[in-house]
Amino acid sequence: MSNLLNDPLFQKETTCGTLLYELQVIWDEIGESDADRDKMLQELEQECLEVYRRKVDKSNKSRARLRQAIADSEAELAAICSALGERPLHTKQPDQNVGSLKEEFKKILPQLEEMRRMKCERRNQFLDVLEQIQRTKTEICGSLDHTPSKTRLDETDLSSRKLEELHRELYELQKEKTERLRLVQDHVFTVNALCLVLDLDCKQIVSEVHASLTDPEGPKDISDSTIEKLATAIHKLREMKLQRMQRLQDLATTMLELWNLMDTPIEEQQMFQNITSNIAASEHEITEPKMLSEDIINFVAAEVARLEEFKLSKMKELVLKKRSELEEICRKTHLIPEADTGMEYAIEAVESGAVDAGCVLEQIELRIAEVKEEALNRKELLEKVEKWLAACDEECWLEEYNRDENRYNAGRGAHLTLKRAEKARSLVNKLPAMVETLISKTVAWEKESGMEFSYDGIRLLSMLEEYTILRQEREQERRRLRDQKKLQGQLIAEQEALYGSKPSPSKTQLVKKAPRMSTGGASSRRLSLGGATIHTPKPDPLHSMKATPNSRPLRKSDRVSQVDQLNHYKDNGQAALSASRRGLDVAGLPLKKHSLDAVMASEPDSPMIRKPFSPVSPAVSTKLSLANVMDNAAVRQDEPLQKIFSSNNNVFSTPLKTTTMNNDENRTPKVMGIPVPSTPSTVSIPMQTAATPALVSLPLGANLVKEIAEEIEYSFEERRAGFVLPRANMKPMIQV
Amino acid sequence: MAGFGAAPAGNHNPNKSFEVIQPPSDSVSSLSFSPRTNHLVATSWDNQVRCWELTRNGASVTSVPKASMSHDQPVLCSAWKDDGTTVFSGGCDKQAKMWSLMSGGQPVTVAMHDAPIKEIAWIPEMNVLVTGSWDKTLKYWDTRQSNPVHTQQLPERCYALTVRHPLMVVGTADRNLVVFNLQNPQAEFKRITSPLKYQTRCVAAFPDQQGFLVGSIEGRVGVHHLDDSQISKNFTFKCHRDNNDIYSVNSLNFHPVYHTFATAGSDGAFNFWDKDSKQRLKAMSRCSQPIPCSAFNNDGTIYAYSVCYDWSKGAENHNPATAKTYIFLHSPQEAEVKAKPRVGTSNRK
Repeated sequence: MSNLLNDPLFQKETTCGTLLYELQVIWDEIGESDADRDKMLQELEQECLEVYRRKVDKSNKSRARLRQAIADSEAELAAICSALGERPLHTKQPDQNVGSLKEEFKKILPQLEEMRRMKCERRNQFLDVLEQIQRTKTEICGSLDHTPSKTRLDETDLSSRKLEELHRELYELQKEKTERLRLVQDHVFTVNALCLVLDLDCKQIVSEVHASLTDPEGPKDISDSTIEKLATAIHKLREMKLQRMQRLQDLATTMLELWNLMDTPIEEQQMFQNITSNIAASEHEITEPKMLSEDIINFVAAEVARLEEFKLSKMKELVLKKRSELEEICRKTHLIPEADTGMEYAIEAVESGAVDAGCVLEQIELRIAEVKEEALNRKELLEKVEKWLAACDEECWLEEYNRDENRYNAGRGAHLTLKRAEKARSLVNKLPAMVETLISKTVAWEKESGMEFSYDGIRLLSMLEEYTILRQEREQERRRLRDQKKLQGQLIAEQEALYGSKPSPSKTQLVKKAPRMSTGGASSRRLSLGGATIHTPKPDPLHSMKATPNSRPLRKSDRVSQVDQLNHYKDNGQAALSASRRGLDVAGLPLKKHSLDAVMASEPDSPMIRKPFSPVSPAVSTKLSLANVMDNAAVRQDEPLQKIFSSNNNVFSTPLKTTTMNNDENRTPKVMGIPVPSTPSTVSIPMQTAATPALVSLPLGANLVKEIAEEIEYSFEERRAGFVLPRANMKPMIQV
Repeated sequence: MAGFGAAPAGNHNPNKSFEVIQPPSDSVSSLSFSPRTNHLVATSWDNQVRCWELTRNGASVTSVPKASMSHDQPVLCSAWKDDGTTVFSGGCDKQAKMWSLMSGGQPVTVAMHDAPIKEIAWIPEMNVLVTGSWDKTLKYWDTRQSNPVHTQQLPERCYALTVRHPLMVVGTADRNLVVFNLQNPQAEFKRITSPLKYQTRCVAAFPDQQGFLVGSIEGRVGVHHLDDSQISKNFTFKCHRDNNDIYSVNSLNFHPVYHTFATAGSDGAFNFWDKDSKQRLKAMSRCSQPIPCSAFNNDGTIYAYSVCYDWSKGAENHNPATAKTYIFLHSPQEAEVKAKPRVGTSNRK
């Protein structure tokens, strides 16, 4: 029974029953009606139902909450799992009821916790990687233009695959970074190497690109712009290197050529060994420090300039040497060095660097070869001419000797002189024949070679002709002297007859003893050979003498002057002979010369005074032998002279003016005018002028001759158009 | 040292001048430049008068054919009106034609002679055209009337003519040189015999009108002053010769700026000279054919010359099959045409 009592439900049931019983009892006592009783019972039942319902509702609600919580947890779990990309550890089997809801909830909670923790971890990992990526990217892109927005972490995708992806990306970036770093270092190294060769400040160039690059420890900027700038710097340096290398190699090549040309000693060359050894090196082969520095290039350039100058002077020397060689040959063969002034000019041009010396040299050498050939051609004839001139010398000497009244006075060496006189006489006898053969030979030579044979610029034939004339004059003079002597003898005889005293020959001797071994002939030979006697000109009687050779006073005292005149005349003649040569010498400065002459010349003035514009001496014409030659065909007063030398009438344009100019050779070449100045391309050349009216001395072309032959002249156009003058018009028109 | 030897045979353009395109098919008889623009007119033996426009491109000169017209007979001479609009030409058809280039109109006959017209010139100061003919007359024309304003009798056939108002010099056959003062054109001012011994080929009045140049067929040019007081300044000089070969001087042209002058000859060469310093300024290489005519343009920057056969050696030396006609343009350097003081004079005191 106590057992039963202890049971609350039992008790409660009991209580309910008891209470109902009590109520019945009460009601019985009260005597409630059944209706009331039913009503009260119904109320009671109603109230109880109410209480029950409330409780059920409450429980129901709490159950729903619990379910919700479980569902939420499960959902979160699923979300996390999907985010992490893992299969959910636990899935609720719909049919399998694990237990009560509370149990289920309790089970799911730790799982959720675990997953949350995992997710958190994963997220941190992601953040870490992303941050690294961001950093690397910034480094690569350059600190200045880094993207401000950080890469957002996508919370929904934290899968390990994604992580792996990010890791890969990071790895790539890191690889790129190291690569860039290496590249930058390479570039810096290259810059260093280039700077070393070019002798430039490397640090400055690098720091100009980016300050961080010069810092040996600190992080280096590896952005695109830096790399690009470095590359540009390298390019620039390389270009500079190439340029300098080219320059240096050019210089070295020139230097080698110059060395080669001038046989520069090895010791001198060794100084530049390192430079010349690089002559064929390519750009990358030149790595030696400071090899291409400004200093070295300047140094080499200076050396090259020195060598060039040296070479130029050598060339000049060579040109001068060759030229003197040419002159020597010309002198030996009595040719006129052609293009004389041209050469002078060429040398000047070489000096000024306007013309290549080699070219000039070549020309001179060509000329030498020509002259040599010509000399060979002339040799035979020239020997004869020399013989003839030597004979002339002897003749002169003999003449002088003959005039020496003391010639038979015994003295030292008198026998030698006698012997010489004897020889000279026989030689002189042979002279006319000699001249004859020479003339015929010369004519033959000229015919054969088609040009004039000139001796020191004068046509040999005219020389010979002149000589013949001279000889005739001399002959005449000699005859006159003989007559005079005869007359004198008569006079003396008369005096003797009158006064009975014969003057001793020694006392009548008025002429100073002339030097025995006279060189009088030398002057006749070649004025240019130097050592010519200088004849002081006397107020000259040449023309008068010529004009009236027989009307001379015969007084004894006059003999002196006569002798002088003779000498003088002879000199005149000889001078005339070589006038053209002199003309040639004078070509450059005829006017200057003439002023000199005016003082020296015997004739104070002559109609042949050169006008300022009158053309330069015609000798130039033979010299230049070009079409540009000046041709002085002016009508001169000295017609007769021109006739004598008709073949080259121009030569003697002013013969008498130059007669006493024996000191030609004293001129220094410096005084010589150079008629062909300015640049070679536009050489201006004096016109071949003539004072009007002109003399036509050259043969005309065939067509012209024909034209002249015709009765009526026709112009080219008239001939072509077939225009013929009507007959009526052929007579001179008498019209108004 | 320059100029050794003659030009290599057969080189028609040794001076590397610019060639005018579409040249006449027969020899050129005259060349004249417009006084205003770089228009060149050439008359030729194929009856043609052609006009080109020349353009300078830096150092080179290019030519564009502009217009052409023809006569019935070979054309011998041409002249421009001073305004550069009109070209006059005359020739073997004994007529002179006026050809207005601007309107592109037809040529009009403005002058007639009894024989071919050899020379023609426009005198802007008088607004008349003057024509010289082988009929031994010189005629002045107002281009609006068919009759000449004045006919001037010449001693012989007109061969050459030059005008620099008021100076006009006419060279005729028989070496006559008739000088006119255009202020009184009816009367001869002076008649002289040429200082040259041979047929007059060309004349050119000095730009200062103090005298004239005369060129002959004997390779010689005379420099002649009109004033008797300047007679001492007269001289002649040889040119266009090659050793013994003598060629005609065909053309004389004064440079419009520097007043030096050019000669061109049958030897195919042309040279630049300065008469005052008596210097040859420049000798150009010889072309393979003669140069019958030449002209400077209005500013002297172009020297046009024609290279073709000029009949100087007669018909027997003319091979129509091989003869070619060229017109070349040479741009003279200043040094070639500018007079320079005679160097070396200081040394010749």
